Amino acid sequence: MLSTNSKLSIILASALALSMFGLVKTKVYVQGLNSDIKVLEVKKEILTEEIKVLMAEWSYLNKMERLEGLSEKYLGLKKVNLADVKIVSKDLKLDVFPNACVEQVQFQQTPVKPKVSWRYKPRATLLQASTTKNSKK
Amino acid sequence: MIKSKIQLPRIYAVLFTVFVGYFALSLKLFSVTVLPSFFYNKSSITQSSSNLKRADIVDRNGELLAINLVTTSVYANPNFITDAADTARKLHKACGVKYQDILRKLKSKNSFVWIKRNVTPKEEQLIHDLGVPGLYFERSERRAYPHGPVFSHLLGYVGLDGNGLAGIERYFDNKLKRKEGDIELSPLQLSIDIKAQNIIRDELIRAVSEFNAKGAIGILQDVNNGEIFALVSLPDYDPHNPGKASDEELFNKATLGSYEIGSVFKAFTIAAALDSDIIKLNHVYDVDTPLSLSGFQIKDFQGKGGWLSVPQILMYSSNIGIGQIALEMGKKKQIECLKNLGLISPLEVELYEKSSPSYAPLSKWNNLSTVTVSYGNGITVSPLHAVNVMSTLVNGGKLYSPTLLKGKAQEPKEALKESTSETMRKLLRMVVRFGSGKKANVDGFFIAGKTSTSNKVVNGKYSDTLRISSFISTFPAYKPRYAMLVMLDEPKGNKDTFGFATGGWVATPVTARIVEKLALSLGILPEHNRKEEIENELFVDYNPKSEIL
Repeated sequence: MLSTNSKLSIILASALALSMFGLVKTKVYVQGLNSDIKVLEVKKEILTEEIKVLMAEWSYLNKMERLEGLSEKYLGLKKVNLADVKIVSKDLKLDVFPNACVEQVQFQQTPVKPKVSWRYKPRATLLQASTTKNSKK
Repeated sequence: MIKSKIQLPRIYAVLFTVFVGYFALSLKLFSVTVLPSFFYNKSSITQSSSNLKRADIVDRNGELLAINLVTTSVYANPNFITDAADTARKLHKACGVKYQDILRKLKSKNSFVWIKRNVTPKEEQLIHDLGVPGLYFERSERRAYPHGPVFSHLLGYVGLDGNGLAGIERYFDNKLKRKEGDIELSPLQLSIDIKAQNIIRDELIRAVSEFNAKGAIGILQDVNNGEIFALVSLPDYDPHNPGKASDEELFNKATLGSYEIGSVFKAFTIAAALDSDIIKLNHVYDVDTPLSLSGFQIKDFQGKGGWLSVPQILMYSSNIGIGQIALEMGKKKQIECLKNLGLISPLEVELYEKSSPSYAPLSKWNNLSTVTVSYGNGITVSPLHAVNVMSTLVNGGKLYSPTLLKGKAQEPKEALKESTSETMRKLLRMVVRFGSGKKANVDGFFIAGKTSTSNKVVNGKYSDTLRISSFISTFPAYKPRYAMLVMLDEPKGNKDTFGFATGGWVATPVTARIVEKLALSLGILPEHNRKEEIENELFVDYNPKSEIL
């Protein structure tokens, strides 16, 4: 029969061995994850560059003159005739065109404009006044 | 007892060994698991943009205008090429470079020769598949402008080293470049609208062709914050090959050009005179005979003659009338007003290519200078200056600095009274309804503006045939959102214009077409139902009585 101390020693030694095994496994696992991260970062950079190329291509393909030509050729679309533009709902009008909507503008209520009293400016008086102003400087 | 004496130290020794072992294990575990997380921060995981060296430039809606793309270039070390002729033949087939050129390079004694720069991915793959030792690839970046020449004067271009050399690329060079430690490069967002830029450019190209003009300028600005929606200068150039462009094509007329703009200044003069209470709308001036000053005669082009009211002076663009108003204002007041409107100082806009106004030295400013400046001669300004002042005239009198960036408007200065601005909106609408700007009228949009024609100076004299014709406008007049300038450089009249090439004949129809195409997408609806009410509100009585006091 083993003594208590021996048993304790065996238990402790076993625990130590298990811990070492666990540590090595953890280390290898973490190192593997780090490698994966590096690989992913490289892939990410490649994909980002590809996305940039696609963005540039998308912008190029969406050039106005190209779209106009294609819509005319394949869809038969023509330019909007302003006379055909109508808004059926006042609320929709205010939502879509809030800033330039005439409903937002307050006009002065002057249905009858006052008669203008004209003031004629003889030229000699003007030139004389101007010469006086300039000579004072 | 002897047994315990022997066993105790052993126990202590084992315990000590175990503790040391566990302590070492704990340290190692800590270093492998916990410590890395302190140095491995989240941002390095989410490092989004690649290592591209320059940020994108986008328009106000996020549409791409400029971007860096990775490209591949092929080079060779001739010392490692075993069969130059065979390699040259294969390379010619793969990438199209001339056989003789490649052969010459491969036979040279250099250790580095370029075969072809910026090859396509397909070419890169073909060359790679050749498996020829001595051929190598180098990755580099190239600036791409998907819209080509449309934004050339605005964006500018970069050099081979990727540094900005003109336009926005140059002005914001430091901001666009990636610096040490930068993880993300945010795109630079401009105030420009792709739709507006394209539409205005297309119409100007059409006008240049129609009127056989030397060039054209188009500017669209938001009057309520100074943001520029479009800036076109023709001719323009391919920003991928600026070296092949001529000086004329590289010259940004809209900001760097300085011109005697002409009659647009009449609107500025009247605004200044009204704001200073020097004149009122009911004042009437004799324009029957030319003004004689310092041996020169100031005349009207196709003048109406007789007595004209202040609104009529603007509507019919009378030099004689505006000259008298300017004389009434006087030199000191005129200069003060020009200063308040920002017309005699450089503009603050995000471009290095900009001009300063030029005019006679103030010490030599006499009556003749006062009169000629009042109708836009004797002072040169950039077209952007003119648009900016137009915005001030109609937006309640607030002078904003023009800006090419979205959402970066600065605090405005108060340049005019609100009442003056309201009056000017009405007067400018009268020009389009009854005056020289009739061809700019588009039903429902209430365009207001002023035509302008100015003869160019050639060899120190005003030319009779070469001119700058323009129309500066705002819409809708009842609540202005935008100011726009259309300017044609040296237009020639045609059959449709009966040989005339003034602003009222050539620039106004272009403005009308632009507004028809652009207004809806800018959020402006044609108001047909309340047309009478709006026109009544904008109407100014302009016709004085026939009897003279």
